[in-house]
Amino acid sequence: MTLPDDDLPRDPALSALYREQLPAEPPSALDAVIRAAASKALRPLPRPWWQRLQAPVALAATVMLAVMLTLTMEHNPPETQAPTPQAASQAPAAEPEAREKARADAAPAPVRQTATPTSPGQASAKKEAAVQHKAGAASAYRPATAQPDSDSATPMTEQARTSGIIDASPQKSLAAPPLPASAAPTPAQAPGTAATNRLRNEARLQSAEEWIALIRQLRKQGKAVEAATQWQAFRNAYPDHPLPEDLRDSP
Amino acid sequence: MLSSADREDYTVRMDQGWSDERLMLAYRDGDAEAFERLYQRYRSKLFRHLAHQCGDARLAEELFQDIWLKVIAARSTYEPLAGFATWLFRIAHHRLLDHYRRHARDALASYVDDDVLDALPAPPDTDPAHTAERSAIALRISNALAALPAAQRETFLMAEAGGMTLEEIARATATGRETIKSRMRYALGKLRLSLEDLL
Repeated sequence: MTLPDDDLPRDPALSALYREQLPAEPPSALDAVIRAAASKALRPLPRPWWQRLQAPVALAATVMLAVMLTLTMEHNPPETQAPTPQAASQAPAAEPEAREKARADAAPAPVRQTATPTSPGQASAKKEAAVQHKAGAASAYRPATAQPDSDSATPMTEQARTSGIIDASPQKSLAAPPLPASAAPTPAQAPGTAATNRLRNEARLQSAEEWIALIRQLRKQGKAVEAATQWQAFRNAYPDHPLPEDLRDSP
Repeated sequence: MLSSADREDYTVRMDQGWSDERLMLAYRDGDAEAFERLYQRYRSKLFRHLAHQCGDARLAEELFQDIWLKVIAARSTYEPLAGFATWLFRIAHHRLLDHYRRHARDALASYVDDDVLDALPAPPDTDPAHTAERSAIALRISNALAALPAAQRETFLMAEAGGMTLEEIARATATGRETIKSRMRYALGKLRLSLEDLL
């Protein structure tokens, strides 16, 4: 072993004597302990139990939240304020046929009773409705929220047109746009469903009139934008409905 | 991931060309092989140093293990601000001081006042003559070293067993160069006196 060349005093003879009598090496067991400690120090530390559970707990919480939201939405669906174009288009294309059917019936239509405040526009609407809906036999009023048939786009048959009187419910609110979408009976349908379709068409007729009344009310209240929106939706739903005179100038 | 040929080449280069500091940095970065190389280089030096310092094989083994465990624990914060040998023997120096504080107050005193205590002989309870297997010469050398004050003995052993320079010994013991020179002169003088018939 070569001694470093520096200013440190040294004795070569003593150095040689010392190196000849070097003491024992460290025991191999001690070497093993130290090597094991050196390897262990390179291993990553185990994460605490609460850190290992973070991802599964977060996933479970997310799934639970999604399920609860879904259930809440199912039990409390959001209310619709305006008829959708699809729903509106499913309304009687049938409506003209229903009107013809109503005219064909000889029985006079009952006076419609509504809960809305009377106004000149309202009075004329009621009169027009009474004229247009000369229904025959009385029939039960089907609410506007009646479920649509799957064949709602097909036109009404003659049988369906000969519907009864459309009775108005006093509780019916003009603020709720009428919902159509009940199917007109097709020739292929069984006779048993004709009455059902007739009832639905009657509801659609009344819905159209109520819708017009709603539009008139909105215009009177100065809600021009909303009235225009409703009017456009009405025209899409009932393109063949005769235009009331006071609404013919609507955009 | 290195291939076997690349790994062999890496190991050869590690053995031949890498400095102690580079090996320690490689171990810090996760290379267990680098620590093995470093351990092979210093295990004998450090053990001899400790064996002669404390004169007790079992105590030397205990101190030896403690010191290497401290090196391993300090792996993540190692910076090559000083040479590895300096750093290692500094740890050994402090570990010895801790031992002396607990068990051998007289030996500790020799580190406090070098000018006065360097001239005094070592206290009798540091006599290292415990193992019968040692040769007579080795025994005499051990006895001569044990007779030295702790500070002088440490300086001599760092120079002879550790192969350290004056500068490295001064840094490891946080002592001035002239003090180290003085300790070494005293140590050599006393050893020559004890072993002159063997020289």
